[in-house]
Amino acid sequence: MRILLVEDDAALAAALTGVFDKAGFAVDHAQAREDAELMLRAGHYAALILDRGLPDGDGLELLQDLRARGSTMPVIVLTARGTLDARISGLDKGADDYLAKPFSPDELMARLRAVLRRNGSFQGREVACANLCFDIDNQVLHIDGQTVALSQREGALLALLMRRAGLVVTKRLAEDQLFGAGDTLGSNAIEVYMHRLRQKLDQAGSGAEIVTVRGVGYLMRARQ
Amino acid sequence: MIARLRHLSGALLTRILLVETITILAACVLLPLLAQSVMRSSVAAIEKDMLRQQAQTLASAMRPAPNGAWRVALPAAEQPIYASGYDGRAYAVLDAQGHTLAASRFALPASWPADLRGPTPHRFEIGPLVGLSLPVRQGGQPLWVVVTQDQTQPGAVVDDVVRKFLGSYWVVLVGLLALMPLVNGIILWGSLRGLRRAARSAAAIHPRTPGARIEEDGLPAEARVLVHATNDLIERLSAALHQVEEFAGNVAHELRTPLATLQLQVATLGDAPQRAALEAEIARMSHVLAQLRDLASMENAAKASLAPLDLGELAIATVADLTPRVLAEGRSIAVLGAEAPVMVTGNAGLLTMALTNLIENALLHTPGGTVIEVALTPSGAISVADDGLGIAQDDHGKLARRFWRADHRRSDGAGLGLSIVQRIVEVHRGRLETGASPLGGACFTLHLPPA
Repeated sequence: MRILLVEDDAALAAALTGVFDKAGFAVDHAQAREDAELMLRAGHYAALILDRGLPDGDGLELLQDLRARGSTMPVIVLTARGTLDARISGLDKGADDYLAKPFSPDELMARLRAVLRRNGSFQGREVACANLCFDIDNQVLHIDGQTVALSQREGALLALLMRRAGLVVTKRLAEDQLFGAGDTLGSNAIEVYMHRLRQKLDQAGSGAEIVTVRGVGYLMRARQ
Repeated sequence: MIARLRHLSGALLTRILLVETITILAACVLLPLLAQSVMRSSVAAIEKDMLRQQAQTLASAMRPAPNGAWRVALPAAEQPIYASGYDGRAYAVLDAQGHTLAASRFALPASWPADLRGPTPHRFEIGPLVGLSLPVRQGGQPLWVVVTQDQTQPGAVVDDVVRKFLGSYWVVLVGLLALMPLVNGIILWGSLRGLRRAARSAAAIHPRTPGARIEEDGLPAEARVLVHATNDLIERLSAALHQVEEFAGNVAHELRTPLATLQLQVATLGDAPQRAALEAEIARMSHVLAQLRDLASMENAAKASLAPLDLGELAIATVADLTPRVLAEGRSIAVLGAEAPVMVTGNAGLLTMALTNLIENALLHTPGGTVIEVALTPSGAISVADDGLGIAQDDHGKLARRFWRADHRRSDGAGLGLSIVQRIVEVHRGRLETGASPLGGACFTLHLPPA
């Protein structure tokens, strides 16, 4: 999977390329907006990592042009500004996510995977985390090659968590995704499914765990 | 009380009134004395003039008498003056040896001092008498006509006049004098009203208030110069503050890219023992940079629009955003009381910033394993507390230092963050409370106005 990195700082670009390489992504690097425009027209990229402060303009202008051309390519905007206003204007201009410098490589990769999955860019709709491999379309979970049977809602919950592995899935988001508008649900419906899912994962020797963030939601991560 | 007295003693009005009162008191004492002395000296001059006239009249009335004596043939009109000796009026004609050649009936004394017989008219006093000796030449002989009168009489008259004048006019005089400070006081009080208003408008100025100025209208011209200069000073200070904040923002901005590089490179160290230490340092630097950036954005905080918002939703979103970091740093976090909406009036951006600062503050100052609790109350308060895990009994200082930093606004993280939070609370007309958490650690609570 090839991504385009637009970042004028050579040192940061090198470090980022290292991170993406390690995660198995091929990276093309553009240092200026003009180069990036040419590369975007020439090649097909799964995602764009875009720095705002470019020598020939604001990265957001590039993003606006991209969206104006009808592209739905996932875009993560990097910024040294990072104030909330900047973040909101970034999301308004069509960014899928927004990351303030500095950031940890784990967070960057988690966010990149999340936007790729949201966009359906991961072909085959298979997501992985630690020793878990989940085929979302067929609702088949493999742990270390062993198949684990899941109910439809357990599967939907797991897909949600694995797509956002390393990031929080708020309880409200989970409720919205799992239950339709017509469903009446008890206040602990999500807890009930979560409990069952955890049991199944534990029994199958899962290398990933679901952390409860009390009052907020859940987060899936590789067991420490 | 003492401060009030000190204030009064330093006041312009008090000083002016004090000087005026002293001047008036001195005038009350000196004015009668001066009037008396002036009148006395003019009376003495008139007296001398009258005596000379008398002596000249006498000299022109002298007629030679047989055997070398002299006779004074006074006109009829003048005769009664010397007839009674009233007022000590008398005359004598002396020769060069001091012999009395002629004299009025009551001339005193019998022998005259020798120094009367000088070449020029001479005024003298003998006992109660004041007199004048006038040298004349009659028949080729040097003679002196001496006239006297009682000096006590006109002196007493002078004193009487002064006393009588002051007696009837002192009320008017003192009244007029006293009116002066009163009128001055009223004029000054009125002029200083503008100054008091200026002081009130100065007290209300915040260095971040754009275009803040002290009211110059209605000020006396002398004070306006100072106030105008002060306004220029405020402008320069605001500009300097703005520059500093902008600079801080720019520095933060410039450092964030290299810091991001550093963080990514450190992550490639694998499980090297230095990695955790380096990452902790990077986290600290990021925190300070984030705060510098937030501080720079405080410039516009006063202009932030406030609207009703759900504080619970905001807390969940903020905590969800920070959770990966909290977990990565070995702490855990929870939000309590956000199940039902907690509506407050606020600015979502600023409140997110405040909450982020408080959570990062907790991350920075607690050991691994700490539980951070973000709790909301239906009244519109949000608190960030930690369980103080790892704070030993003999290490109270750790907790105290966090507050100490808050007080002293040091730039090493906590102080800066809390002053940002403080500023955000001010903009919301809320209240920041710092204290001990029921969990055992520190607790910071924002009280916000309900929607």
